[in-house]
Amino acid sequence: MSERRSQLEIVHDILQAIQDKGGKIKPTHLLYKSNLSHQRMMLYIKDLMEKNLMLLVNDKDKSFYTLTDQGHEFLSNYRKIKEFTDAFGL
Amino acid sequence: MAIVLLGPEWFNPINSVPEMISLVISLIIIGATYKAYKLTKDRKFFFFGLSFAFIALSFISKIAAELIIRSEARESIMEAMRSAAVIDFGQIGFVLTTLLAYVALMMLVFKVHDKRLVSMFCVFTFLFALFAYKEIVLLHILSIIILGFITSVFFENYNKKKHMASLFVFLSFLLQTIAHVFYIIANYNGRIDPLAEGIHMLGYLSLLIAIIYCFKK
Repeated sequence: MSERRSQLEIVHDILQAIQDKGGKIKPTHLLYKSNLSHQRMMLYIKDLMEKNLMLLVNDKDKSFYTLTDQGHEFLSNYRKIKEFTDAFGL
Repeated sequence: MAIVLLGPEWFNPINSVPEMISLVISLIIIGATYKAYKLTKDRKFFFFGLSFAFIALSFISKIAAELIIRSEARESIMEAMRSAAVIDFGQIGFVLTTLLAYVALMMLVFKVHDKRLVSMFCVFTFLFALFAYKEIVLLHILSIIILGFITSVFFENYNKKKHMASLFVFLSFLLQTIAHVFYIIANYNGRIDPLAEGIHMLGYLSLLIAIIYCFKK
């Protein structure tokens, strides 16, 4: 059985899902990729948008979530910290 | 790694250089850990940074004591006494901070969360520093034991991850453990002291390589 994800891991998974889709993802795809209930995902998205890590944009009558520069920076820092944690087995 | 200058004559002027390098590396690690703590707010990074803060303090107390001893003309009795007080003060600080660092690191790598156990180890550390600070060989023996256990965990971690950074972390703690063996020998044969200091510094350089691996772009 897999362990429960921490809040930070969920945030990472949401932002990573956007990056994996080339920096632009449909809300339904994000819901599927984030592996959260709709209600919980919306809470995280609201928080991430308030922190300016992601944005909701409209393109040809369709909504997409995109990463901001801060979102990209967060993912880069997260990877470094993950390396650090793995290196010391913390 | 005793505060009294043990090494050969040629080594005395540069005795503190390996420690200064190790101190700078410790400060870099504290900085990296602070960055990780700021992003994650995870307490394990706080305690990891704290253990390296203790290591940095142990280097500072040792370097400061050595510089004071070296700069003083120990001709008069008063100055000799002052030097002895400096040695004692520096030695207590050095022993206490070194052991607190190793104990904090041990608690972290063994994932000990029981506050009573942590408190007990802290009390033992204080008592040891207070009553056995003059027996520097005991500190090295204790360091070999603690670092030996920590090294075994880092070896397991390397075997699991097979990652360059984890290899350098393992090598770093292995070298530090070996250095303490040489510090014991240096206590009886001063000519070994530069070798012990060199191995200890190599351990810290290995840690720096591990950090560079983790934080490179």
